[in-house]
Amino acid sequence: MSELDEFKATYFDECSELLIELEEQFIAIEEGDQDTERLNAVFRAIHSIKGGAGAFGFQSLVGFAHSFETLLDYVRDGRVELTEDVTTLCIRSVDLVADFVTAAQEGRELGADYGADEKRQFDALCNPDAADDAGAEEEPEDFDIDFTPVMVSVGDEPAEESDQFEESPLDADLNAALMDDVDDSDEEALAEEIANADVVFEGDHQQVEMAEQDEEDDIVDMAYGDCWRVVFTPLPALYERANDPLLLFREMSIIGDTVVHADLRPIPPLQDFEPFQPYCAWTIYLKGDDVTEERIREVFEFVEGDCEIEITPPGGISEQQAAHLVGDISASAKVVVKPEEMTPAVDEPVEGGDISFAALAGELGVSGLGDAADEPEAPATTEASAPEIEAPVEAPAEQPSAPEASAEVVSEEEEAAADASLTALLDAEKEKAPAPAPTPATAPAPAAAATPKPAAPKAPEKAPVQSIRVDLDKVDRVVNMVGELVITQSMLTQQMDETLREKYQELVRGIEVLAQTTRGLQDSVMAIRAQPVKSVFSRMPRLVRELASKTGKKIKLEMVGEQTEIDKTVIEQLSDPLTHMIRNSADHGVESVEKRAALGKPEQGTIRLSAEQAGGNILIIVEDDGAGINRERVLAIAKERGVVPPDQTPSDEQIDNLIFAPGFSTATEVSDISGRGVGMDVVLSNIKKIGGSVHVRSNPGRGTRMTLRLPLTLAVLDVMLVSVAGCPYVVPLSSIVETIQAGKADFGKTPSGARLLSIRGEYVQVADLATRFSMHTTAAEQDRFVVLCEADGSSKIALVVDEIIGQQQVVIKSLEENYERIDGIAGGTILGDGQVALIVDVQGLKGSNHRNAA
Amino acid sequence: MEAIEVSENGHEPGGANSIQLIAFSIGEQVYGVEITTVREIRAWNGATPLPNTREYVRGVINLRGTIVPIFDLRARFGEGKTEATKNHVVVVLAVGDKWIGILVDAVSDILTIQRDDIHNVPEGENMDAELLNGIITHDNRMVGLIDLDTVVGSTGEEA
Repeated sequence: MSELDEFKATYFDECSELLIELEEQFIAIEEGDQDTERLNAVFRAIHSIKGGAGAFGFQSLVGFAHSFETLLDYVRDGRVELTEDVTTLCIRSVDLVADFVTAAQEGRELGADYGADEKRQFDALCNPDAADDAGAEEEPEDFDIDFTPVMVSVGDEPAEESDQFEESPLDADLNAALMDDVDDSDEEALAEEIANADVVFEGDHQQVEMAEQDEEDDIVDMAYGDCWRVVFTPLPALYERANDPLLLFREMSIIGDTVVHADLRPIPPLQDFEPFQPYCAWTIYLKGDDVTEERIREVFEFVEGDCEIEITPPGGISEQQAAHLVGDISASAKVVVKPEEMTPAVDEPVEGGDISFAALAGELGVSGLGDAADEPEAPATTEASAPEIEAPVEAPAEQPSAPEASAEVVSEEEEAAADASLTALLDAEKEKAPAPAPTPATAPAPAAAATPKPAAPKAPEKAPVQSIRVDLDKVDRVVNMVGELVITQSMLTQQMDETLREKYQELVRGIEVLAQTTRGLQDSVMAIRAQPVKSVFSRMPRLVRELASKTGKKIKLEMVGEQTEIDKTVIEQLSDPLTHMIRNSADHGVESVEKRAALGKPEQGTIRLSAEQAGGNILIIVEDDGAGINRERVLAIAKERGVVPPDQTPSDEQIDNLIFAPGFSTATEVSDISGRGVGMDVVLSNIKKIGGSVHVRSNPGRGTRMTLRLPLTLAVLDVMLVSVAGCPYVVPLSSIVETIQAGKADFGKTPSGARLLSIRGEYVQVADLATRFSMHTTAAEQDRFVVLCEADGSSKIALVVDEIIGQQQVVIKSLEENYERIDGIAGGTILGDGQVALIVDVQGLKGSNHRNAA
Repeated sequence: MEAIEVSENGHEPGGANSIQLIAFSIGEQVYGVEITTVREIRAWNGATPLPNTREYVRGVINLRGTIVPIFDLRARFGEGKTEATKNHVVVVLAVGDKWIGILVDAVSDILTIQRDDIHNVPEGENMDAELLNGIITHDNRMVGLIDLDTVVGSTGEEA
C-alpha cells in the first residue's frame, strides 16, 4: 500500500517536472521555434503523463491527455498545422492537464465536462471531415500490442517447466526428447547425454562448450546458423520476482521467428530436487530482418540481473565453432577458470566438479593445468554416477557467476584474449577483467567468485546518470553538520594566538587548510540545496494568462534570471508571495486596454519578473508598466481605516509601503483576483519569515517595482549577538532597523507603566528583554542598548538589551527537538565557544506583549 | 568538560529478570534510572538559562551540536534550586525520542536489581507516586526509581 503511494508520489513529482517542460516547450513554440524535436518532446511528455495516469487509474486525466496526445501526434507528423490558435489551445490544455494532475493528486474529481470544450476542439482539429477514421486514429495509441507466438514450441514451454516440479528427471528427459524444435536425432543425442551425464553438468549452462555439450550445440547451432542465438538462464531471483519466462519468449516472438529450446539436463533426480531452484535454461533461436541485439536486450530489460543472457548474432556461431575447434587455448582457458571459481564456493559438489574438470582438462589434452585442477584423476569421469555429477549442477543456481565467467571467456570477442597467453587470461579473470565491456555476447559482467549474487551485472552502459533524487532531510542533515563544522573551524581559528602560531607551525597550517576545505565544503553543500528560481517562476506564465483573460487586459510576462539559484527552502516559501505580487501587478497595476490606449501606452502591459544575485542576497523584482500606486487613494484609505493617524503626512515612500499593512486594500470593488485586503501583507510576513525584506517603489503613471531581498540560504542566519543579564541572545539581522544607546533614547510611559520609545515622531513599543525573560540585570540603564526591530509589516518593536557584542553567522537549532516551544524564543544556536545562545523571536515578542506587560 | 561515556546497552548479568540502574544522589536520598536510558554522564558546566519556561529547567546545553534541556531534579522534587558547582553531575538520558539532561548531586553506583524486588510506591497525598516508578532497597537504603516520563513530561503542575 505504502509502496504504491510512493510510486504515486514519484509519478506526481515527475508530472510536475513534465508540466514545467511542456510549458517551456510550448512557450518556445509560441515564439516561433517549431522545431520537430520540441514537438517530439511535448508529445513524449504528455504521453508519459498519460501512461502513469493509466497505471494509477486516473481516468479523467487519461481521457484528456489522450485526446491532447492525439492532437500532438497529428501536429507532429504534419497532419494538423501548428497555427497560433492551435498553440494557444495547446498552452491552455497544458494548464488543464496540470489541473487534472492536481485533482488526481488531491484525490478529487473535476467536473465531467472539465476540459470537454478543449477535447472537442482536439477532435475537430484531428478530424476536420467527420469521424470516418476515428477508429484508425485510436490505433497508434493502443497500449496492447497484439502478438501471436510464432512457434508452437513457445507455448509448450511453461507447461513443461511447471511440470518439472513433479516429474522425475526421466520424464523431463522424455519431454525434452519430445520437443519438436530440434531434430530427433539431436534430441536423442541429448537424452543420451543426460543418461550418461558425464561432464554435462555445467557444460550445458551457457555455452561453455565442453566436449560433449559441443556436439549437441554444434548440431543445433548449425541448424540455426542464420539465427540469433540467445541463451537464457534464469536465476532464482527471476522467479522470486514473479517473472514468467513464457512472457519473455512471447515478447521475443514479436521481434522475429523464434524457436525455443529448453535445456533440461541440469534437472537433478527427484530426491535431489530443490523446488525453488531454477534448473531450466533455454536457448532461443531468433530469426528476423530487424533483429538487433538491442531489441533482444530490451525484452530482457526487466529481468536484468535476475538471469544470465548471452546473445550471439547469426554469424557468431560458426565463428565460435571455428574458434572452438581451432583454439585449444581457449578451450583450456574455459576449463581453467571453472575449478577456480567453483571450488571455494560450492562445498559438496566440489569433488565431482574437480574430478570432471580435471578429467576434462585431461581429455582436451591440455597440459600445464595441474595447478588449477589439482591432480587430475582422469578415470573418475567415466565412473562417476549421474547423481554425483549432477550435484554440482545446482552450483550454477547458487553460484551463477561460475559458468558465466567461463562463457565470458568463450565469447567470440574474446578470441584474441584467448589466443593470448594462459596466464594473462587467468589474471584477467582474477581481476574481473574489464574485458566484458566490449563483449556484446555477455550480458552480465563476470561478477565472478567475488560476488555470489549477480545483482550487480548491468547491461552495457547507457547514458550517464544525470541526477539523483535525494530526500531533502538527508541533505539538510549534511547542511547542518557542515554548519557545525564551519563554526568549529572558526572557533579553532579564533583560538590561535601568536605564541601558538610560532610553536606549532604545522598545526596552524593544518588548520588553515581545514578552513579552506570547510569553506569549499560549505559552498558545495549549499549548492546541492540551491535550485534555480525557475521552479517558481515557471508557474507564473499560467497565472498571468489566467489573470489576463479574467480581467480582459493584455499582459505580457517577461522573465529574466530564471537560472538564479536559491536555497530550496527559500524557494518553497517564495511561491505565495510571488503569486500575490504578480496578481497585484496584473489587477491593480496594469491598466485596461482602453485606458492604456488613451494614455498612449502600448495596448499590452508588461510585467517583468527578474531574479539576480546581489552579494549574499537574491533580489527578486516584480515590475509593471502600469499606473503605479495611487498615493492619494492609499493615504485616504489608510487614514479612513486608521492605519495612519489623520493628522500625519507620510512620505511618498511610506505611503507606497502602506500597501503591505494588514487588511489594506485599495480596490474599490473586491474583484475575483485580488482586493480582499489579504495579499500584500501576506507577502510581507512570508518574506519576513524567511529573513527577507520587501521594498516598493512606484512611479505614478509609469509603473510599480517591488523588490524582494532574500537570503541565499536559511541554514545560516546573520545575527546580532547581544547579551542580557550575562546570557547570550541573538537577534536576526534582517529584522534589525537600527541600534540606539539607551541613554540617548527618548522613552515615554503609558498609564499601565509600559514604556514607549519615541523615535522620529513614531512611538514604538518597548520590550526590555531582561524583564521579559525574568532575568536580573546589573547593567545601568544608560549603558544599555535599544535594538529597534521591524516585527512584521510596518510595526516595530524596540528591544532593550545590556550589551551588543557583534555580528555573526549562526546555524539555527531547534529547541523543540529535545524540549518544547518557548514564548519569545525562536530557537537556539551554538556559539563558537560551544555555548548555547537563544534566538529572539521578534514577532513573537510583539504579539505576546499584553500578557507580560503587567 | 570531562564526560564519561556509558555503554549503550548495559548487559544485565542476572538474566532477563534483572535490570541495571545508575544510582545517583540528591542530598541524602538515592535515586536510580535504568542504565539503558543513560546516554552520557558529564560534569555540570553551566547552561544557558531558558526564559519563560518551567522553573525546574535550568537551561540548555550544547551536546555535540544538539541543544539539550537540563532538568534540575531537586527543583523538580520541590526541594529548591540546586546550587550547582563543577562537582555536580548531569546525566544525559534518552526519554522517548528526546534527549534530556538531569542535574543531580553525584552519581554513586551501578546497581543490578531483580525486577521482583521493586516495591510499589505507597499512595500518598504528595506527588511521589507520580514521580517514582517504584522503590527498591539496596544496602538497606531506599532507592527511588525515577519515572522519567513524568519528570520530563509537560504535564507538570506549573501549568
